[in-house]
Amino acid sequence: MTFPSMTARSFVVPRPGAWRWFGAFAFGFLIFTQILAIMTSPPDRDMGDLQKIMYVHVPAAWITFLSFFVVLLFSARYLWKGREKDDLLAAAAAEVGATFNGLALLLGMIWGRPAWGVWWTWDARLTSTLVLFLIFIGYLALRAFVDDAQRRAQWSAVVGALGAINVPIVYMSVRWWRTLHQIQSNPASMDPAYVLGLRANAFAFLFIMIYFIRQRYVIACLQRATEHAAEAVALGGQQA
Amino acid sequence: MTWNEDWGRIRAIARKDLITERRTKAGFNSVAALGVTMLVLFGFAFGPDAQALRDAAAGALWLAILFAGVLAFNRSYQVELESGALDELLQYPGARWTIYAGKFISNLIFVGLMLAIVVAAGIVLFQIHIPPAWPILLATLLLGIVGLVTLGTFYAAMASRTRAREVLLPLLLFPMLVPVLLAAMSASKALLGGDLMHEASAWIRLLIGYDVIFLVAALLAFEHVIEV
Amino acid sequence: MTGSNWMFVIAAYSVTWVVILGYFARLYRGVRREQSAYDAALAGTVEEER
Repeated sequence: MTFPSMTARSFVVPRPGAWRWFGAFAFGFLIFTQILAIMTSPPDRDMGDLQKIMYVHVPAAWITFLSFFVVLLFSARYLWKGREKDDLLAAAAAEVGATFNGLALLLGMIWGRPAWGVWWTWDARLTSTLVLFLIFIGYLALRAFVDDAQRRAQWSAVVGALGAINVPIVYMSVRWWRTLHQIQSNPASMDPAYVLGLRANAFAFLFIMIYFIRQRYVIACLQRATEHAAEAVALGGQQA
Repeated sequence: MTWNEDWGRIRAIARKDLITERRTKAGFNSVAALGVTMLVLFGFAFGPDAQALRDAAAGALWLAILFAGVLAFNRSYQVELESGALDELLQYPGARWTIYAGKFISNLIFVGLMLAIVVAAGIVLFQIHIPPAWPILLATLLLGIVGLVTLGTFYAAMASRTRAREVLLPLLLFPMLVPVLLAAMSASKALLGGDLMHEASAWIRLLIGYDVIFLVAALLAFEHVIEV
Repeated sequence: MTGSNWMFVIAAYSVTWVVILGYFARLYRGVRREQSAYDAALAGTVEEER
């Protein structure tokens, strides 16, 4: 399976266009939903004001898993069709996903310290999220250490797909590990009063994620286009 | 390609790898020695109290096998890479998965032998009482190393061909092996402790499921990894 | 108890915005940098063709 040959001009680089507006909207909407959630949600019975952290922690975690799913989708598509764009989209989603993953972990710890008294417990969800983070890091490290574009794309696609397959298995095994022995309290389950605020913030995070992936994809396209252009120059006199 | 030809190829590759290892026996001996050394270091970390050692035994055992095994996985591609034989191997017609299968078998034998040595050392160093359910424990050990070797052989096909193989293989492999390690360690620990048999069987089922899923996935995906 | 928790809530939202804005800044600079590199490379090919 080879890359279709691409020259500098034929490699279409996305133009900013309407996406600037989408980005502005995404940020504005996030500010709006956060203010809305903080202002209108009553203090929780057990957690008090600490519950407000859920409006950032939970969406960050959801976006993490969604990003990984996107990585799986485009990795599979690349293995199927061999188009470079799918590889670049997968890579973009992985970097964005790793960022939200790190954020989710930090927020989990910030929530956990007052709630459980410690910065870290080997809680099933937190631990699985940490393992997922390490899988993301491995994926990004692989891409960093492979220079040949086609090899990098093929290998990343396989590694991304295998990693994604493993996520539910990791979650299951960590959960068993925690429940087969005595454990401390679970995080409180969601009172319906908070669901609307949570959903709104989740969508806000979703829009931010889409915008970020798109921007990261643009960077990847530009880099590849530059490489193609440099190759064209090096080969000398090639029809661009 | 018929099954007979495929199987012939698998055996040829496995034999080639094993014979190469036998000739440079230094390889196996030093990896096994490293496994035992790791056990000793874990002994320092958790001991000298006998009960603490027994509690830590399952975990220490599996980590020692894991770290030593990583060396084995990279090595299994090293000879071909250094001599340029990998390209020649790819010239031969035939399904690529047979290359993986052959290496899987040779790695499994390698790690299996190492397991025997490390377990023997572990029984002594960690003062392990051999439980009555030891056949099941043995099955757990075997299923566990199948899991290790499945993904280890696969990821090494990539990592060994990058410039950062020593760090990249563990970095890719270890998070992926979390379910195997959790299952193998937990089942081993339970069985060593006499077990509420119920716990170990759940973990063993997870091990079997994991081994099947990833063995199939590796066989299917190998050509994408070795061809390019 | 709930009073001191406000610090953690503020910390959480601060971290969130630091990460989101920080990553956005990284992407923004990245796009600018790669765009100019691409334009420079294209100018190179045009020169070659002349």
